[in-house]
Amino acid sequence: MDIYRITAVGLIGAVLSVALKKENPQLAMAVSIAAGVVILGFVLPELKAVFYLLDRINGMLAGEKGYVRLILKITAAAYISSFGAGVCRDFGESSIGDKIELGGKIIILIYSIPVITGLLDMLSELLP
Amino acid sequence: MDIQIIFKIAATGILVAVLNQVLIRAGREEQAMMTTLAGLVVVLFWLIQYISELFNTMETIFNL
Repeated sequence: MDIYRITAVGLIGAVLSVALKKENPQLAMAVSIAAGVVILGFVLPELKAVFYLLDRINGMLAGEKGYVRLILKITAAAYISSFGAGVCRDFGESSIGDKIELGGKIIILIYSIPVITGLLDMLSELLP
Repeated sequence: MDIQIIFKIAATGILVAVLNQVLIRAGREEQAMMTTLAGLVVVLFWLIQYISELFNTMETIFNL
């Protein structure tokens, strides 16, 4: 998927959103969300190639197998929360955007708890 | 995931804005307010469908 389409969609969405902003700010927000969704929809399927690489790396890893899957979950959470926070900040709702970011961070922290416990167990084994 | 929805939403927005002005000039402020809200609800329906489609593709891709 070439970059021209992404930029074109982004610019068209921005122009239409600004055009609607004076008359009808709610629909301007809807247009910008739709533009974001379309661009993400273009780009995300391209990520499949990365995941095949990750699977291969996962195969080579000797130790715990679940970590690569955890990385994917954390990236997905980061993508979605930054998408929502960005749109909220666009329309002046920076406090709501910060709350979404906070929620994303907490969820990522919760996802990473098993990794931390695994690390602690490994360390306790090494140290006498 | 094509660009159709942006044009649909923008067209609805412009239509609602024009209708709003026409109704206000005709002295019916309440109907003008109602059409704006109706337009907003319709657009939100499309948008929610579209966002749920995006999140489904995201789930399948990240195989969560």
